[in-house]
Amino acid sequence: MRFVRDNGLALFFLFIFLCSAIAESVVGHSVFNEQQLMHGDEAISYGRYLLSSDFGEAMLENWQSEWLQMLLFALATIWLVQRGSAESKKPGDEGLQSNEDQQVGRHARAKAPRWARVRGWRRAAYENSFLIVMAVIFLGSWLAQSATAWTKFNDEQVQHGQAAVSWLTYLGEVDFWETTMQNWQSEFLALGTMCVLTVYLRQRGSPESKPVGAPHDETGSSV
Amino acid sequence: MRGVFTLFTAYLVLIFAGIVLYTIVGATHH
Repeated sequence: MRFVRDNGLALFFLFIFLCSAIAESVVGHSVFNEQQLMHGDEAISYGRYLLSSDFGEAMLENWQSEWLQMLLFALATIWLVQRGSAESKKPGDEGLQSNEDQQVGRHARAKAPRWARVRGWRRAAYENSFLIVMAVIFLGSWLAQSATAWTKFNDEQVQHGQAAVSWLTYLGEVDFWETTMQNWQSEFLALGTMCVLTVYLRQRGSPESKPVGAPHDETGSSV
Repeated sequence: MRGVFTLFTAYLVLIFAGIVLYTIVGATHH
């Protein structure tokens, strides 16, 4: 039980991810088959739908924008601040900060990760490891979105008697950029909202909020 | 901390499995 309590956040989000991904696949399968029948094509099995570009594209187009959101937020909050926001560093703390602030090299504490103590490429890699992994996931899921959306696009081209296009040509199609931008715009608006709403609004008990009694002009404090 | 590292690995495996799987699905025109 201690494991569950210590890992409540990771387990909760993994569980609701799996539930909603399964729900998405069930309703997506049903919609896909309705359209197949409307076009006079055969319905496909649930297993085949799980391994289809239709399902892959629907899932991955949302994935890429989520990691882009977190990636950009981690990157922008290094150099930009929002006075009064719970999500921001204090004005004046912009930038990469000193080795002392970051507890690296000779400022590392007893239990510091090994690569925080060393110099050179290992420290450089570890200092940026979160952004590096987020960027790889973002680019990977964007690639997977483009591959599945390309196959879907070509299917429709062929159904309408038009020529299939190459993957590189598809990357220049408005179809690809419409689904991409549709996901990006909502993430950027949500990020801006998080930054600015936490100046004046509070959620008691949440680390995403300042303490309820914190003044509006206090920046970057959490419960 | 061992259980935490298992979850850390599980998340990364899940994400990269999804990316590789659907890149292949798309690239092989499935």
